[in-house]
Amino acid sequence: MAVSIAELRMGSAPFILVDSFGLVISINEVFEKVYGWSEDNLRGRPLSQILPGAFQMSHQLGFSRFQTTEISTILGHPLRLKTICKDGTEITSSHFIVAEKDGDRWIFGATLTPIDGEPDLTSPPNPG
Amino acid sequence: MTMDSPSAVEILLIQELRQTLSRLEAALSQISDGLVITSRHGQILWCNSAFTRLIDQPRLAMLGQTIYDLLPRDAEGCRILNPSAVRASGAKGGTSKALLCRNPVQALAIEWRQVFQEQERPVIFCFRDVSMRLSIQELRLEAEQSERRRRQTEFLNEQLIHEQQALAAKVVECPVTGLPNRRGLALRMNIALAELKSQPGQLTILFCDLNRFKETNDLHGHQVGDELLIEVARRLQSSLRRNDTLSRLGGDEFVIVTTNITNQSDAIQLAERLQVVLGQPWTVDNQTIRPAMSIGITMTTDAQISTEELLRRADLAMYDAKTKKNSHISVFETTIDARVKQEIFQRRQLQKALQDQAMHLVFQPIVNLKDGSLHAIEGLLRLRRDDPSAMPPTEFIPIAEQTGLILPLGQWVITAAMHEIHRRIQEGQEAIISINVSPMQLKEAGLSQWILQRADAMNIDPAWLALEVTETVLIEQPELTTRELRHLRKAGIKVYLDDFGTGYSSMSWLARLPIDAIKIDKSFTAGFLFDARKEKVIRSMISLAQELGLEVICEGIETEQQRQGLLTMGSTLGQGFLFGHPEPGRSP
Repeated sequence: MAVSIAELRMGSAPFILVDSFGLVISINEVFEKVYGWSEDNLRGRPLSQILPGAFQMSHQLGFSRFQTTEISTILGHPLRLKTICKDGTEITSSHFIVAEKDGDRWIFGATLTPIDGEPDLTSPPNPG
Repeated sequence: MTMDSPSAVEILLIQELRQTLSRLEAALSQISDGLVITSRHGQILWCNSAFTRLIDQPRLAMLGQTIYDLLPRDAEGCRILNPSAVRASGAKGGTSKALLCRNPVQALAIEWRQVFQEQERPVIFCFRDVSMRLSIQELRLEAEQSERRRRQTEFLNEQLIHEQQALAAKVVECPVTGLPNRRGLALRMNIALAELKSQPGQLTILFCDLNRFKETNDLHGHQVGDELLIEVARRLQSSLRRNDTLSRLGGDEFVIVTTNITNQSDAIQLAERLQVVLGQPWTVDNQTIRPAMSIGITMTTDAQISTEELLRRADLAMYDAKTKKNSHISVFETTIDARVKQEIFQRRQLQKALQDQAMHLVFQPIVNLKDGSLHAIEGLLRLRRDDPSAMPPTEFIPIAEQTGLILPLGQWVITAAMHEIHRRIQEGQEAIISINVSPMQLKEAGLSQWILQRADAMNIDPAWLALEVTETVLIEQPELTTRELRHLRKAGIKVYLDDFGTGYSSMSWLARLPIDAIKIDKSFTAGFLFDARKEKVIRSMISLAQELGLEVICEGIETEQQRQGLLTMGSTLGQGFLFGHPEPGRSP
């Protein structure tokens, strides 16, 4: 059975809610604690603010594609991505993103669980 | 910091832009050219589907990676895009061609240009497959060029190998221990032989091989193994005279050359002294190791003998020493040569038989002495049914025990016995099949589990299986073997104590063993009719077994008189030629 945004929000993982324009609506306290952002820092700001530069273009295109086609390859399963913290550091996290219709618009909820000690597959492999 | 919500016009504009972006991306994913947008440093920001196919990686995994690292190499193993060439091309961009070593050969035309309107200066790359456009002439030229470069590389490699070999030939020292290596040893032996020519004397070679060195390497790693070798070298050196030569032949083999010994007993004394010095405890990883070695000795007064022959003789003597139970020292004699060759031949024959599964079981009945009815059947292993020169069990079992081949052989026997049980059940001729289990098998923890899993997999009731074990193993490792046998008996498997009377046979011990029956050795059965002492011994054994609630199986019954005699003494079960010779069954 598909997980709902409400279920994600009730969990203990860092949680973020984004509107159909890709703007942050809210984050939970765990998110604030883990990534250093306060809700005031992010509310109404583009989600791309917490994504590394190399992912932003792909994020915008993916977002656009979903808005037009309502078909996505990244929803409903864990994705290993980097997240930018308030202090500029990057944390590799497992993103689990869910989309739901709110009236005629989409909203997006996601948990971003930091991955400790696992290899970062989004970075170039170590040549050594 | 917060932002105002977008106005209705802005929302409309965003929606239109998103739709446009979506359509453009869909269009770009349709084209066959691989398209990539990177940062000016080559970090991938976006790519289309054709590029993911070229690289064979999902898009998400490529984002943020450097394009130069991801691109395949060309047919000569070089980069198909040079980062400095791309950077140097600046705003005007550039083009290049590459031939990929794929099947079929793939030719790529690569084009790139900077988006100079943007401050960040991203770069757009286009990879076009132009394999179809390559003319035969171009392909031939490319192939010739590749071949020319391959030959050049090959030539350089060969040159390098020759140089390495020439360099290695000059090295006469082992890098780990600092002792002379094989080459250094040969030089020393040649000098000693040359001296023998001018001044008659005795040249002695001691070939030393560490026992269980591989175990140390496997347990503690190669670094500890190397440290042990250094320690061995130090200890051996400390027991030698100044003009003796200690060398490391390789692996765990050390060779000593000495001209200071005049007779065999002095050589053996030196070997014993070396063993004592080497055997002192050595601690590593909080564990104490007692190094040990086998030593083969050869002596000569013949100055014409070759160094190879001397080493071969010492090596053979060492091989012989390894098989000795106590001293692990052996002096070369011509008989050793023949014996070791025979052993090597037999070991190979056994390995080949195992590899080819050229084995079979023969079956001999164990019957009720009263009415001759079948009680059980003993399965006995034989090699190569069709080869009369195949070794008998008296020869191959000891070799299998020495070499560890008994473990796979034992497993084969158990499986074959289970096939026989299965066949008999299918044909309504159920009988207990007993097989011999070697001490080495029983010492391996997990035997009981393996047998029960096998029986389960073949859907066989374990109660149809009996294992014959000897006393020795039960005495050597009582805890492990008793545990294993109890586990098997609990599952219904019978345990027979084989060759009873020939080993330790402590009466008090017998009461504690987890067994169902004793098998009285044929040496008692053969003589009891004419030897009153043997008769008394058999009678006591039968009586004791009966008091302990054990069954008694007398082996080697060949005559009716023996059967009658044993029956009179109270024995109920027997086995021997009187009831049947070992006959082939239908084991796999």
